[in-house]
Amino acid sequence: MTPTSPIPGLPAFLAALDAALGTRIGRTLTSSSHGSDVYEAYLFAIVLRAAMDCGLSVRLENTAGRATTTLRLRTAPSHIDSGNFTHAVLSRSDGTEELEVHTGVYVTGTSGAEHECDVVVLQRNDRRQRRRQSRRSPRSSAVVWAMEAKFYVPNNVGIAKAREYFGLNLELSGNSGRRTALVVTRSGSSVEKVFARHTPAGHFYRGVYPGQLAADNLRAHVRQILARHLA
Amino acid sequence: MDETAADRAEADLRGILRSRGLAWLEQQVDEGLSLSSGQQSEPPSASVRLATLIEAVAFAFELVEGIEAGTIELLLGRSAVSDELLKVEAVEFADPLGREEPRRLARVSDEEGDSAMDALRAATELLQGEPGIREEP
Repeated sequence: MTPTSPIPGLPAFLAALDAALGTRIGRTLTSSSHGSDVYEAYLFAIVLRAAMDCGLSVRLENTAGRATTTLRLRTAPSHIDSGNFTHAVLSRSDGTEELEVHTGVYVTGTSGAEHECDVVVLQRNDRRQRRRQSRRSPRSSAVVWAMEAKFYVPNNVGIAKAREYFGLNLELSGNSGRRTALVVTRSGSSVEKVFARHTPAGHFYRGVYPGQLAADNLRAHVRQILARHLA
Repeated sequence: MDETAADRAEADLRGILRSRGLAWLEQQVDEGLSLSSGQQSEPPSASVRLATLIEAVAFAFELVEGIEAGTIELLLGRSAVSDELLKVEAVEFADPLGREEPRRLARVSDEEGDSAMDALRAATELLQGEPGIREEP
């Protein structure tokens, strides 16, 4: 810090920044989290609210399948049945259909390679099959829908993530091409152009954070996905 | 403000970001600047780089504050359709490999955090009004 800065407001800004980094927000903006952990939690919460909008019942469960009231989410990807983490179970009132919502788990793509899904809605019956077959990851065919989340701060980045997304979408969706979306806080306009050219609506959401129309649109899209799946 | 002064100010800001574990934020800004300069066929000036960094830092804090509050609101709100409430008592973030201590998401904002955010907003506003700090064209 320079007390004799040629920019009069800079020392005050640096001091304010330093103070803010010592608060609860500083604990989220860490070198390992990059803000991504809380962003995934936010998107997870959007999925749960969309499920409730559809009349589904939502309960939280830990990895062992026991009910919990602590939402414990991963800060790095891991296999779905490892560690003590929380997922949500979405059920119809008559119990005829159940889905699970997870964050930061690996899913096996159509090629057999594993991929991280930031937020994923899975068919719950894959759980029994997975355990019977001693598989560590759900198969892509069990994916109802998945979100790739990116906490971007500048408004001119993201093209590399867009390129990666198309590979992930192919791996998780196969020929259907309908099971994933890229959701970002901010990104460059070139990212939007790529999606507009190569995908129908519903695969790319930019500007998703509280108070933004894009967040409402995403929630509406998740409702559609769930309603279509349950129909 | 001359470009040398902006250069020094930028170095100060980058030093703070690195020392507080925010090098990732710097990298995102640099990636964006690099893409923009490729489109404009000239590298960004020091004052543009500085303005971009300041905006990114301020936005990151606003974003996290909004997302934390938004997450809590979504998790604790009652469903308009079924009147159902989610039974969530705490939100935790944990590393599957145990490399860091689990963190908890605060359910309510705290006075210290609120006043730090207010001070940062005010300082950002003042700084963005300084002559010589200019937005990317």
